[in-house]
Amino acid sequence: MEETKFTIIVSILLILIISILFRLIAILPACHVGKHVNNKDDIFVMKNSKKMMILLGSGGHTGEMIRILEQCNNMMKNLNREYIISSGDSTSILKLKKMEESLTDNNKDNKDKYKITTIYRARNIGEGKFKAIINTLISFKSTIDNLLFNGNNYPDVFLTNGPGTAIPIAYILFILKFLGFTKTKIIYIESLARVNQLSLTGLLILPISDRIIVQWEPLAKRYRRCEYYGILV
Amino acid sequence: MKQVLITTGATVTFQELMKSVLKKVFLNRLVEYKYDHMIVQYGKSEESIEFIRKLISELGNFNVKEYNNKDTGHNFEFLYDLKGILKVRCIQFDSLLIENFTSLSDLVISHAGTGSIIDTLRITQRDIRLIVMINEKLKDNHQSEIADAFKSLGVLESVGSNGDELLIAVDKIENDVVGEKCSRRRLPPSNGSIVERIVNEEMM
Repeated sequence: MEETKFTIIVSILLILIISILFRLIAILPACHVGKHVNNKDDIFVMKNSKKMMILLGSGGHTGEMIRILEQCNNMMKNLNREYIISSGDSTSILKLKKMEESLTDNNKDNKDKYKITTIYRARNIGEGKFKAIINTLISFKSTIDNLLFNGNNYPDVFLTNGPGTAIPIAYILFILKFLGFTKTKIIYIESLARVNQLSLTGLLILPISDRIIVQWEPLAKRYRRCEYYGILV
Repeated sequence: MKQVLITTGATVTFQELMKSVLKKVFLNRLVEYKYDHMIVQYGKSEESIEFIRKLISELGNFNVKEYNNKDTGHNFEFLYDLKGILKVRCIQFDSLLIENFTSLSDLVISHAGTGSIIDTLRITQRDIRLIVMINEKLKDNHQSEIADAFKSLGVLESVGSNGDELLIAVDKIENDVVGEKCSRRRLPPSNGSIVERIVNEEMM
């Protein structure tokens, strides 16, 4: 009797492990290289209902992201945009509003198509380790709250260029994708400051990111999945 | 008007850069090359005010005006007139630096951060020369890699954290009218719209 029980348990476990593996292979972008359809015609399939989530970091990251978005008129006009900003980052909000205003000045409807979500960000400078851990946890919880309990309206694309906050968001989205709740594509743009080596954020996001765009050629040569199209900012 | 703009990172003052430019030998050289305006953006921190005040006082006895401006913070302004006349103005930080100062300058000297470099190189309506000084004290922020990468594109000159190298770079630029000896190529236009295509592909 015990033998049969044991065999059943082991079989179930094996089936579980194997299905998890298959699921992972199915959704891990790193397992599917070189199947980008290069759509040369600029026909936009973006429907009005599609949603993009854009993470703005502090200072340099926001500056680069805004420079890029300013060159993407069609995309900005056609998609719903949700910006994620860290608490206390008023400079990013100012820059963002300025850009959105210049984008939408001819088009009143477009104004309703973007929203800004603030997530709590730990400021660890000069604080004790204990406080730093607590702050990081609060920050992580705030991220989960904003992503998960957001009316279940997950984005179609998550676009980021590298503040550390990208990591929890990207992995939460990936887990949701694994469980089949969303099909969010993750697009990562490496900062212009990275010439020869990916940043830590870049390395951590590499396995789960659908596209990784770098801005210097040595990076594209070094990492198989990085795409290079010249400087983007 | 011939203007030079010197700019440090907004938050942390790059002291070596400030020491290299608020120095007699450097100012004399600017006068020699017929510069009549020099703008220094020295950074937001409170300590930097005292640091700049000390550097200026070491230059000699000039009639330095100090005032507060709501857009540019604590200002220092004086006429450097030892070997000619150069109007020097030091500002803390201007959020509209590009519009108000960079785009009116002939030469920009900045730290080797990507933000400052791109801000200058993306101005197309004026032929601006750029020298970057690598902040060698900063570890892990890749300033020398960035400077080398841009230098290999031929769009700027880069120097280490010392005033002598900076003087040589200024000489090189000012004596190179036809642009044969040093970098003065334009940065190719940015290709950011590719992101639009990639997002589009991923949404299909």
